[in-house]
Amino acid sequence: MKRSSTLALVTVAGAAIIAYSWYSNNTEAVTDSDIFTSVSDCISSGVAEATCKARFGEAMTTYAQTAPRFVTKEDCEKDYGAGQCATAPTAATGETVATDNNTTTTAQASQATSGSTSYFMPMMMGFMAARMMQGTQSAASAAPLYGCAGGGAAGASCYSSNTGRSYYARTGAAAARAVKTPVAEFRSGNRAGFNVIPRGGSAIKSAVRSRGGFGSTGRGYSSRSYGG
Amino acid sequence: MQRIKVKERPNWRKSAEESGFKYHTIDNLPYWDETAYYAFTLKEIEEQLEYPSQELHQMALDIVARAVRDEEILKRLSIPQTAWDAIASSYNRGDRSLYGRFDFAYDGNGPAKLLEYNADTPTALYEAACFQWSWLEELMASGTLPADADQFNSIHDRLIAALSSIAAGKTFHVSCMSESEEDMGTASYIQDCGKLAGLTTEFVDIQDIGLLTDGYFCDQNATPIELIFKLYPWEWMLGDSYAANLGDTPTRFLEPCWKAILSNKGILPLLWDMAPDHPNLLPAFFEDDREKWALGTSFARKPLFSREGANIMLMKDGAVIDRADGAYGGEGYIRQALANIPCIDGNYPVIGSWIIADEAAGIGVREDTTPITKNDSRFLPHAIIG
Repeated sequence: MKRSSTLALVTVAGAAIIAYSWYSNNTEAVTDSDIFTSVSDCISSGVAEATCKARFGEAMTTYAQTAPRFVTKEDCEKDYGAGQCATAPTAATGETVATDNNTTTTAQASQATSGSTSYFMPMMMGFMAARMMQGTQSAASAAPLYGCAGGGAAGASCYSSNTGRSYYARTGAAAARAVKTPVAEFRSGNRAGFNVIPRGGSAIKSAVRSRGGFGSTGRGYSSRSYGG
Repeated sequence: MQRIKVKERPNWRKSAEESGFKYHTIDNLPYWDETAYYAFTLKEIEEQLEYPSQELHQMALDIVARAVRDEEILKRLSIPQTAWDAIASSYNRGDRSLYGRFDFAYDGNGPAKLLEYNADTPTALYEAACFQWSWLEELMASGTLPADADQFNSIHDRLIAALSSIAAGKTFHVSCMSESEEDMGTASYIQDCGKLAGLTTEFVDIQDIGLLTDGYFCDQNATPIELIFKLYPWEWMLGDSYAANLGDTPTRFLEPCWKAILSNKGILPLLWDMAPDHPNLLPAFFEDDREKWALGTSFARKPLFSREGANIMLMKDGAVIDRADGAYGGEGYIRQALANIPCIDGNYPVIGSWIIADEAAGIGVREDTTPITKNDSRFLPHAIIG
């Protein structure tokens, strides 16, 4: 036989990233401009572009470092809703993962036969910016938001945070954005997020000297693909 | 080799979407096309495609071995002098390669002729390795294809095996320009293969890469990069501002830097010079070589650096019969004898023959309605029948 023998149809890029818009409810005093489904959503709410990008970046960093990880997809979806979770990258030994009964366990990276273990984490569906977080103790000025469990329309319009709180938008303006839209701005960021594992204890051994030294030549070519 | 019309699977778009193969249709035109397939005999596959691919790859490696010690060759390929050290040290260290793709003109009669070697950043990988594979399995299961049909395609198995060996013990980073959905597809598939090989993998956009004070490149979280697959051509890397830091870095790359020698169309005249009259080679010369006149007024002119057919011009009997626009060509051109690309029902197929970790591993067929295969040429599946 001249073909692969072991291939179960592999998916590219794991789960698709889809962020919702939201519509009214009132469990928290939140206004439209505090919760954003994307950077462009943030900008169209009247916030300065630089601020939106900075807050989004902060939320992404927090997301990558602190998003809960689960042993099974079911456990993840129980907290964050059906279809709201994606496969997390292979966990490093010693990483803390949340389990169904709200205790934490320590991952054993070598327990699977392949030497790796899959985890699941909620997808980042939006972010909360500083204004609404003034009352909290958090030092961060932006935080990632995930889906909500609960199902139905309420679940679909609901966002939850790392603290477990749920938030709903409540003005009419948000209803206009109730159509699900892919959030292009999230794509590279979320890919990065999915693949970042907090490495407890493994300190970065060297300081960053510079960034962004690759890519300028490629940006000079407009193409659908930079490969060939 | 035959082109055989066949019924599309009713749900293939859905399964493509679900598996993340979202560029199956581009600008409302099909990219994945299963309204027909190419049928090969096992003899055609092995004797006309597999063994020649293996041999040509070995010949290409022989050229690399010469080039890293011969400045004249590097100059001929318009490789900047600042990059010579990085290229030579990657070769002398024995940095291993993961993949590459030969493109052949082949009509089932006579030997396949090498059009070019995409040795650095080939794409159309997932569709060849996986989607084509599931197409075959499903058509065999439904009885449309005979139960003893086969496919020259162990790409997936070999990618995983190669990564588990090349990247053993390392965190495996994967990178591309993430605004390109198609490149994200290819890079993500490589990342998936890394995961299946048991590796810890991380993605970083090529533009987010940083440099640490100890010489390692790093990702967006300042994590040092030990080994990175980059779907971004070496000639661009060598033109970017970090080029000066490539010589000393402990970061390792897939493809390795020495692939800059092979991903250059100048490899075609070098191969011809090394093995004139090889059955799988077309006569080829550098544009500034007087010998080019041996080709007369019928030839293909190709830029040294070019992808997806860009800036290729086909001249027949002194008249331009096809040309593709693009932004390449500044570094020079080569001329290659015109290949006889068969035209079947108005379609011009080109065979992409994959090399994975130095082994011929499978093929994919691209079709265009013109003789130049471009980035919107359709991908058709193939089967080995008989």
